[in-house]
Amino acid sequence: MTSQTTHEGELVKRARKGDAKAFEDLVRMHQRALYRYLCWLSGDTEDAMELTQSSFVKAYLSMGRFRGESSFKTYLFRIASNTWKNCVRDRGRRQNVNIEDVPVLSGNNPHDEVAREQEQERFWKLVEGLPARQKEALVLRLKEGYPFEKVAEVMGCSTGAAKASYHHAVGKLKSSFYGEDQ
Amino acid sequence: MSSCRENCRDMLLDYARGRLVHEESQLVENHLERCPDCLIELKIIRQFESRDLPEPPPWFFNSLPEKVTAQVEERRKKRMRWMVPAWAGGMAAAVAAVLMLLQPGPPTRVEDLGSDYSFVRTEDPFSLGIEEELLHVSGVFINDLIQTLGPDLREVKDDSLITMDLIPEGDGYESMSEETMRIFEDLLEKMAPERVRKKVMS
Repeated sequence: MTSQTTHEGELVKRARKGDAKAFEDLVRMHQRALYRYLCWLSGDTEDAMELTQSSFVKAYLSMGRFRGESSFKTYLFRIASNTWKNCVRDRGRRQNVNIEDVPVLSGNNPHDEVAREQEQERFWKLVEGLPARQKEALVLRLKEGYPFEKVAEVMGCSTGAAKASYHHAVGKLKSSFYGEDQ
Repeated sequence: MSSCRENCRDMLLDYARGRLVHEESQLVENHLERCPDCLIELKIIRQFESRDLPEPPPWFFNSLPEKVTAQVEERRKKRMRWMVPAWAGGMAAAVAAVLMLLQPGPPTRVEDLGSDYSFVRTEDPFSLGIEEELLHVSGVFINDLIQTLGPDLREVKDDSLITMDLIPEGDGYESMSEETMRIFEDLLEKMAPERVRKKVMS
């Protein structure tokens, strides 16, 4: 166990007893990682800021139930994922991007800067349009670099289901962006 | 394809991040030469690797820790204010619904509950502070509770300010804490299960 883990463990213990300063230290330790994760999921800075704050609030209010079976970061990420999914659900389908609706760009000169930017934009729109769980698996795997076991832990599902979500997401991007049959 | 999955595909991320030893890198590179599928997956991985996200304004991280604890403190104070008059109403509804679910026979539908018992989504989900803990109660999942009560959760009619926010199973919450369990047990003791059942069935 590293000294940082021990320190975090102490902070968690104190925060569970209602020590606000200890929880503030935990926020300082994880706020950047949580913000980045939520920024990836939401695709929007303002949303990510709001979601980060409400995830920490929920985490603090639920500290009594954190038993330390997973790492504190995993616990936070799990709350953040659910906070984001609730937000998506509450906003309804209006803002969803349908993969089928993203235009296919063809005949662009690959050396053309504008065309390249358009391609990039199209790629991220496709990512944005993925179903929540697939996007979650993709971000946890590719940005956090988590092994599938840990992806599953955050997602609250089996490792097989986490793998399936990831591979479905990759498959969709392959077929929609690179025109490859799945 | 199956060999991709088993031998190479799971190594692509580590390959892209330069985490493989020479022999493993060589293995991946040899595979990539003859597998367009994995090559495309590597391109996707690299798209993610190369993207920078916008940073929030500097004040955000500076003020966030204090903001979080201040917000929690404010909610706890509000909860304390509401605790006495409203707590019994909200908890009675929860206990009644749980007891109803524990009864043998077909699940009772929301219209059978009578006007005293029902749930609404609260505007402030933390007003009660324990609502997220109602996930497993004697093996009853909150999803079952929601299904039984129906999607159209009605308003509590006893002028109680307290409302319950039902959070589906799997929303990051595991099971009732010992503290919540104790509150439920106290309530059951105070209210007498017979009385609760009678009210539920009326």
